[in-house]
Amino acid sequence: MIMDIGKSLRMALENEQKGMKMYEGFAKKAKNEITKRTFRFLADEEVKHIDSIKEFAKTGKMKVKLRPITEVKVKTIFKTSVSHFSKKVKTGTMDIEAHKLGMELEEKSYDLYEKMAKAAKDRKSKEFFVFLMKEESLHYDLIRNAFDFISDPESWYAGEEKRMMEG
Amino acid sequence: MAFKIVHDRNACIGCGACAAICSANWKMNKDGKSDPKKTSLAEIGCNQEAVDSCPVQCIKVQKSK
Repeated sequence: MIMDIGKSLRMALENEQKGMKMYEGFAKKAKNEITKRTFRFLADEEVKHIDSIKEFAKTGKMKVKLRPITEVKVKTIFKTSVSHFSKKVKTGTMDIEAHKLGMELEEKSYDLYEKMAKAAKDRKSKEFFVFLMKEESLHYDLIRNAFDFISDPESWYAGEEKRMMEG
Repeated sequence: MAFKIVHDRNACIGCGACAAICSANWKMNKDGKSDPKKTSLAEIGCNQEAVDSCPVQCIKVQKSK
């Protein structure tokens, strides 16, 4: 893949803007609070990515304020949502489809940034796209977890109990 | 009663929600955006669900005589 950094960043920006609009819309239209919270969080994440891409395009540096979301934080967000809203879960077809589409987008984004990281000619650009890859991977995990829960809460709880027993 | 599908293609972000939820009348195109298979329909079918699922509100269903 031959691509200059400017084109890569433009594509990355378009990708994140698409994600932001999609997640904002899904958050507004979701039937249950877990879906709303998941997509609201993801929309905010895309806004941070948009800012960081713009900053990187302008200065060639990663935004100082931007900190990668950790796996622990992602788990905390989801578990907090479940504990607050598990008794009120109403799942519509749209909620299920939104999760599938979200996972699809995160997978495609990961692949896109992986290609960009491989094609990057300098260390800083490579590091930037690797950072975005990791973020998309964690986003995927968050959506997958929420999807598993809203699709089949009983199995999700059983799995959680098993994981806790196993330590 | 007949129905007319209005799709604002410029606003479409190509998320695929309409095609996922109403594949009977929506498909994804090579450019990454969706299109309705038919724009004039005798029955609304699943098109209201497509309207409801679109995150950027670029699909509308109008009643026509």
